[in-house]
Amino acid sequence: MMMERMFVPSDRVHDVVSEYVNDGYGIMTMFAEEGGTVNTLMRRFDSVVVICYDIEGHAVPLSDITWNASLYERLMSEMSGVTFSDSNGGTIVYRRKGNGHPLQKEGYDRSTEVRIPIPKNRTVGDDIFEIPVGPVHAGIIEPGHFRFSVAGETVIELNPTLGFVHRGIERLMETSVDVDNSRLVERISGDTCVANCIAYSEMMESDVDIPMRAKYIRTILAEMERLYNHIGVVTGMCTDTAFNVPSYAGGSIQEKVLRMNFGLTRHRMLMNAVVPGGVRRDIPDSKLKELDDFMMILKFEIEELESMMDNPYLADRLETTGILSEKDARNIGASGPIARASGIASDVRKERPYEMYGELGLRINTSMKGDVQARTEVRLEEISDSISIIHQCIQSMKPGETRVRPKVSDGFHCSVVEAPRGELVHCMTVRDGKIWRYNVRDPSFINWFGMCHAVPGNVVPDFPLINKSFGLSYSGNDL
Amino acid sequence: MLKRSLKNLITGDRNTEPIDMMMDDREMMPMASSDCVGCGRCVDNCPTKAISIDDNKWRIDLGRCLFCMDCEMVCKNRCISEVPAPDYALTREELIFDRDTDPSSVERCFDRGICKRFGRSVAIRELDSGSCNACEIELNNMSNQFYDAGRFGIKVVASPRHADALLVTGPMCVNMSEACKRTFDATPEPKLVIASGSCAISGGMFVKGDVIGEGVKDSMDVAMYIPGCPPEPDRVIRSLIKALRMRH
Repeated sequence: MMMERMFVPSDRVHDVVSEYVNDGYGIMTMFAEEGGTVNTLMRRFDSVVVICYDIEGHAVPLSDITWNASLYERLMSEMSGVTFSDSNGGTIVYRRKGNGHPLQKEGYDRSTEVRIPIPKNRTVGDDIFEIPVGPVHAGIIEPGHFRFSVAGETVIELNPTLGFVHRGIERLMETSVDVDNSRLVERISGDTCVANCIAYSEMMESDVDIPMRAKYIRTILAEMERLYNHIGVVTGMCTDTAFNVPSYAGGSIQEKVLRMNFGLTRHRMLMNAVVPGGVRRDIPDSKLKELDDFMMILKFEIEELESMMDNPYLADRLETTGILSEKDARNIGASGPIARASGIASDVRKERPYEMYGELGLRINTSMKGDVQARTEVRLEEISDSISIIHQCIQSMKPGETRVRPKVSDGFHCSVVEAPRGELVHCMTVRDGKIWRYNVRDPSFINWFGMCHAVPGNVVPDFPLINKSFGLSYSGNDL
Repeated sequence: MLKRSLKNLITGDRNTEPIDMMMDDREMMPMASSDCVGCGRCVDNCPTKAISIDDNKWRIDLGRCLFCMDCEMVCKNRCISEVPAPDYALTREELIFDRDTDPSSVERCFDRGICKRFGRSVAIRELDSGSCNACEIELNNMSNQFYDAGRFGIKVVASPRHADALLVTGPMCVNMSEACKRTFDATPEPKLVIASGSCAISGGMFVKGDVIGEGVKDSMDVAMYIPGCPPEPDRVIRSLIKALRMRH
């Protein structure tokens, strides 16, 4: 969607942003463009404002207004080379990189690696041990480095070091707007490809209306993606507590969803399906009928899985483990199922509807507890909601066109999408038909800090469980 | 739960795919027929430049292919069609196919000596060198009820020191290169390096990004290539069984 940017002089930025924050706006993303412009995107329900200023000397630190601004400031100084006059900066966002700043258009030498040594944790003392883990983990997961400070079994401090999967996607996106980059956008995070691709496509088709049928198909695909992600996380809870029967049952439910995905789009992870201007292939009615029948079966299977998970031994592990309080969640600006499990009723699908979500009935499922159990419950409820949304879509779909030619004009564009992990923000600046700066903020970027708040106070063996309950992406965070 | 488990045990009602069905299954790849006039529309539309036309000679590099079948959609003469693809190849050159060739002929086995060393089982250590998590999810699915890689003797181990083979995914990011090198050094000889997925084979979509060279082969000696974006779980299992002559 095309957005008007609000240009303010750099000495007024601090006041303007604090006014908006007092009005209840929260920071969605902050990024710097080449040439010294800093954009701050803020959202309250459906209204999004873009506050923008040119840097004179140093950039203005905003971390004293909201804490999470410091994360973006740290990111800007590392990735774009912006300097702040007074920034405390998170110690956690931190990337190994080549010589220079990866987002600079010139002068970045990726072949000579500059390695800033990973800092030791600040918690020191007798009987406090530091456990380094990663980047190559024991399971089949992505790379990331964690440092625990433990006293006995209890974790006192946890600092993750990410950035190992940095592939330079934001720079690769800087092409002409005529180039179809949807294949690249899908690979930002392989399990969020529909959400990423919808966000990209919504910006690319800002000057045209896409056909209704394409919107319905996109909604169905986005919900299918949510289904297999959430089932994967719920199954992971059982796997990590060595509760094998529901773990295998969940695994086979996930496999059935993936096979259904293959039937719909010819790809198990739903890649290559959404393109700017609509969808690549129409889904024939026979397939939709099959999908509808499958949803009925899935509903039963999820109920069976839920009844298996209704177990006191499992509850003993999940309840009161990894609590993220509502206050912490609000400070961090957490989003998605993690925020909803901590009592924040926020869902982009409801607040700022895109595609067909405005016309469909959906609930915001919340829980006040904020522990691992709450996050599992919220996900289970969202699974049944997704099933209902897919059913509603199939009921109200009509035949028609599925693809038009996309068109985009110069200016600032932004789109917000509810990915399975939370609020996903894509922004881009188009100048003379070329993408000048493309910015992606994956929900994981913020939620990683939620995890760092949730882990201390728990025992080390609970860390995999808490990590899995947050279900975060490394590749989406590192880009 | 117990009731259902007992029922399944007695009736033999299982999700697991029969071995024959899984071994006969094939993924699809694009291939031009002799009607191709060399207009070059597929070359322009290929996101990873996997297709090339030199002197009217259509050629596809399966190591770069994302299997998105965009080429099939843009072809005006409808001369690109789906044909069964090979599951793996032992050299990079074998993954490049000319028009109208039979792609399934490239599946060779390792030497008898190598096969004998690994015997009937292979322990894999998965190494993510910067992939997008899709490969990881599919490799996790390898051990679910449907594929059950354990029955063929394929197991995923937790440490490189226990591994026979390193299964590398991702385009070898600059930031992961050091960790990958150390993992490679930690794996005891004899070891196999398997490049799995387009990123690992050729750099895929990220070949111009912050990565080292074109895929994993520029950093390690790769013994086997499994194409796909991401490779399906059954494809990985089949490749290992066929290449290592494992009993099934």
